[in-house]
Amino acid sequence: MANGTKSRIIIDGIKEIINVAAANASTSISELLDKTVLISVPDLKQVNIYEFYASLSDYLERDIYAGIVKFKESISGYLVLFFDEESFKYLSKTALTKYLGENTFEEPIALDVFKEIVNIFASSYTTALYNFIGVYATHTPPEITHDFLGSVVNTILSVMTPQLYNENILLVKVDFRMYGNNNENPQKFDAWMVHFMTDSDVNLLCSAIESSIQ
Amino acid sequence: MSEAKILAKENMKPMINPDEKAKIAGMGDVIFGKKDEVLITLALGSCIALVLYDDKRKVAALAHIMQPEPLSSSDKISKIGKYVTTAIPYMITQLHKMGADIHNLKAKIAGGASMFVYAIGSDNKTIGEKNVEKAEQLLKKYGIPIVAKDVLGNIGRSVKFYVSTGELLIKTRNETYKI
Repeated sequence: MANGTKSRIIIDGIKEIINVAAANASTSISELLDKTVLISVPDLKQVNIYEFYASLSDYLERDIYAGIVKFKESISGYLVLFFDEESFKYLSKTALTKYLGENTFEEPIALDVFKEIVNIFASSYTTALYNFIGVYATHTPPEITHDFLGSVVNTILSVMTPQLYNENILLVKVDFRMYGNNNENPQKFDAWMVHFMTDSDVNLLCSAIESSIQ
Repeated sequence: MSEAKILAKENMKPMINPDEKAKIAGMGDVIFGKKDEVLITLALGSCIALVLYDDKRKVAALAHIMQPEPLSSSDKISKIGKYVTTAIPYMITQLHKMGADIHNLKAKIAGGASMFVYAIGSDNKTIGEKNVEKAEQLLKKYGIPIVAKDVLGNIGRSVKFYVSTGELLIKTRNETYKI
């Protein structure tokens, strides 16, 4: 098999794993909140860390909530779920309305809901990795922060940089949209998931995908 | 050395003002300025912004530093400002070439936050703490006083240094202040 074709298959394989994981997570969230959750096709690219940070220059000070888990066992990167403030409040109100009948914003409860959602995402992701290519991974409990987008990304890149031989990371990004029941009342819901993969993560996933297609 | 002193609180303003002569440092960058220029770096997390300046000659340098030092001699140093140990000697040398009196250099530091617990290493210290500690050690070795700092905690910071006044403006998600 030509190298280009093999690379294409590996990229498609990673995309498919992400796609299944995100779809499973979306279904869980949809059931949790009684809302329709749609996901984009995963966008996967290898980027230099400095160029990536520079590409965010217009968004570095954007006010976001981030839910972060660190992968353990076979892989070691980070999965981060970003929500803008408006979407975070919408999420909170939706959960409170459903479970308590109150359409108000309560940050502590919202943080708990958000943690649960990040947990669902990370668990769906590790399950998909295992089911599709036999890569066993676990993850830390989610940690939530409310700050500048750039400060979260800055910290992740700094922590990862000793593990990045060529100072490149593989980024996988999935966007989410949430709608009311029966797709009524479409709500702007700006959330996206990013998996920051180290060199060793990429190598491991590539080997596992290659083995699974031989 | 005195602790960070808040001189003024201002309403939240964009850090980049088109009326100012601004230079912006990305991760691992070192930038230099003179007289009426301002030096900016945005959204620090565990990274630190280290400013060295000569307030008489009105020259300054700002580094956006990611790590205390290379883990091994084979570590790639693609950016001189990536490590404390590479940034500081470079800043001193270049400031001297720009006319600074190295005996009159002063330092200000901001950043080094712990945004989440996974940034803690096996030695139970965060990268932010290690960055700040290494910068303090090295500045002491070079005899450069740290006249103000706003470090650690768990908040992101953007910073802007005014070469003409020596003031460092710090912006967090909730407030803006000068040290």
